[in-house]
Amino acid sequence: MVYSFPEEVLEYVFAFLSSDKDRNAVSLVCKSWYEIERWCRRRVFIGNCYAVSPQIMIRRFPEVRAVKIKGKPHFADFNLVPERWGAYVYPWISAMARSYPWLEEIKLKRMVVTDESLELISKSFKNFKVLSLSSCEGFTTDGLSSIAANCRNLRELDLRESEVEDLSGHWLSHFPDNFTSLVSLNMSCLGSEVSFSALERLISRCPNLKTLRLNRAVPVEKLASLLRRAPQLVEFGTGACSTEIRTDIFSNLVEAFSGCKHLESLSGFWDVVPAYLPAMYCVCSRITKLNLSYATVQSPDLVELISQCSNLKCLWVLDYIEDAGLKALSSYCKDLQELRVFPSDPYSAEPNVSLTEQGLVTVSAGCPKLQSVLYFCRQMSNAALIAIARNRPNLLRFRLCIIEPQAPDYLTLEPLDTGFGAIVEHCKELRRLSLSGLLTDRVFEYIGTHAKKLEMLSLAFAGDSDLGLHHVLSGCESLRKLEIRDCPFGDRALLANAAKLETMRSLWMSSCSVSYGACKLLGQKMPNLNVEVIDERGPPDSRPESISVEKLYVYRTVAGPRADKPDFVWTMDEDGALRFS
Amino acid sequence: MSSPEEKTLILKSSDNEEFLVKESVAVQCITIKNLVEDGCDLDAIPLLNVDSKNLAWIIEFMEKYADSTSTDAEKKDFDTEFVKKPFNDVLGLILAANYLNFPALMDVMCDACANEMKLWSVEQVREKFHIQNDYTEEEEKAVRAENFWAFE
Repeated sequence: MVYSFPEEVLEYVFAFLSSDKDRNAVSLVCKSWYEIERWCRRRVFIGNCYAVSPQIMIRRFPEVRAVKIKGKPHFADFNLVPERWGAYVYPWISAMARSYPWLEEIKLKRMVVTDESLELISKSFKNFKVLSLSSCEGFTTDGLSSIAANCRNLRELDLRESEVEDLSGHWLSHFPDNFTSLVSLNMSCLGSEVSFSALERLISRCPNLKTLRLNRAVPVEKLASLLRRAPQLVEFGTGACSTEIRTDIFSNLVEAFSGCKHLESLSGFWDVVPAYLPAMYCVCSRITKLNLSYATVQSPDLVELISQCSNLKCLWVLDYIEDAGLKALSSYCKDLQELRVFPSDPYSAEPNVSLTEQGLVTVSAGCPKLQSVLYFCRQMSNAALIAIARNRPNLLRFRLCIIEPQAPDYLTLEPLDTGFGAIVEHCKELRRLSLSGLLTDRVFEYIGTHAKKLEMLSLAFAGDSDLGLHHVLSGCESLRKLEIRDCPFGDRALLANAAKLETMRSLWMSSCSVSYGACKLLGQKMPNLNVEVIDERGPPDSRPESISVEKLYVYRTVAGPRADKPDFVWTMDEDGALRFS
Repeated sequence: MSSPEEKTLILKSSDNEEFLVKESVAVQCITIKNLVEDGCDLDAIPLLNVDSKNLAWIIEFMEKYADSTSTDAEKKDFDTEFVKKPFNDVLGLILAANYLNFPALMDVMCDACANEMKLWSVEQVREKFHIQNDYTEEEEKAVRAENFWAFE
């Protein structure tokens, strides 16, 4: 029986499909569904700003209300992407300013955002509500002033981990006196002091404020006053807590925290004096997320705090926690899902804390829901990795950073191949993996054989030959992003698996052994890929073709070669190939 | 407690079956509500696009939702069971809910329909909706590329 479904009924059904995957599937059913769907898609996610152009997005989806765009490759976080590489958001903002007057949300990651862009945003979208700039750069606090002054309906301003040129704290005072819609403010990355009275007044008049992450410059003695004005807060980030402890400050803080019955997430704690931590004990039992990665506090004080957080799901902490603290974590926090342990002193030759592989093994044994791990440490063994794999087959994300490159199993001095092999063999749903330590091609054989759900793989100083790269490219069916530095991978594996690159979002290779000649060949062979050579030594054809390029970034695109390349980036085979229009 | 004078409506399906429903329950369908408010004084309200099978179900749903004693949790449980029908019946109910302009039923049935679709391949969706694929191979390839490379 054939139903003639009116368009508005199909739209009603499509409204219950919000994921990009489902929306994209709908568009493939038939041409009329494609048409209906594209007019009612309200949220667009662009994983690589150069895989598509603003014009293509706007032509296909005329009624968008929310965009999320990602720019630079992940290795930009480790300063591997040179300045002026790209990922400028201005062309996107300017195109959307003309075509999306009702745009409400812009979320950007690793993009270059200028004050001009921010001003254009603030003036072009009357109903603008959400601005999230994660790991972005290129703007100053003047740009924030425009947003504060002009976005009358702003709900969220989140600057997490962005690099902002902080001219002054005066930007916050630009929120008008009748502005009351703020729900979320994350200014933790800013340096300057904002006017405290302006901040107090802002918080007092925004009854829906749920998230407030202050910057370092807000001193601990001022926290109580802010918390008293926002007892409805769910997420709170303190400023620096380094003032010498005083009874009155402490008791004010205790009182203020005890009024916050909805707090679930805490962060901040820069240089926190341990004596302040007990002020938070009254909220600990409700806390599910704790970011102590700026808290230079020793293990016993950390344990005191953590032992009260029986509902903790996510902990970010410095390695001051040590194995002893992780043992306590594993016995008190049975709901733990995510653990990140950061190094307090990565550049010192000797370990400054007693944190070893044992801490992670203990947590993997004691926390049955653990699925996400980022762990910096100085020693690891295959035995420990095998134990972790057997304890936690439900791991989804596993990033291990052994600080010394190519460090072997410290017990047997062997490579860590079998350990990581056990991880991919037991953790069948693993989506993200970062390797470190001494690794041969063998580990890649294990990965290619077992890591069938792996979407993102990060490698450094690993492998012996092209065979390693070949195993990964030919075996990892779900691979979307591969980032490699300082590995002996070269032409053969890359060219043999050229077609694979069209099934992935991107490939990054720096300080490897890929020749300029191979890059040219790849560009010729694969017209739908942008094969970009990044080389600050000057044009690659001024050197023999067999010379390895410094950096290579390959990604699929429907937009053709970039028009905004700096003078140290070349797109292979830019002229000869056919392109999608 | 309903008043002894509370009005009962007669709803007549497209296949001429008559159903008695309290007015307060039936007006959850905005189409019916409008007819009543416009002073329709027919003996029976003919619903030309709703057959008896669908109308029976719709009345079952309306009565559950009009019942002030049922909790949100009970309604959710009811919904879960209610949508367990062959897919063609789900589609039929969506069309009927659309014709009657019954928002609560539309929400529940469209959500159920979407949940089914999430589990299917593109080919399966075409089959279940009885839709002919009118893309050429090249066109489909181009849409797939744009979808996966740009927008996912």
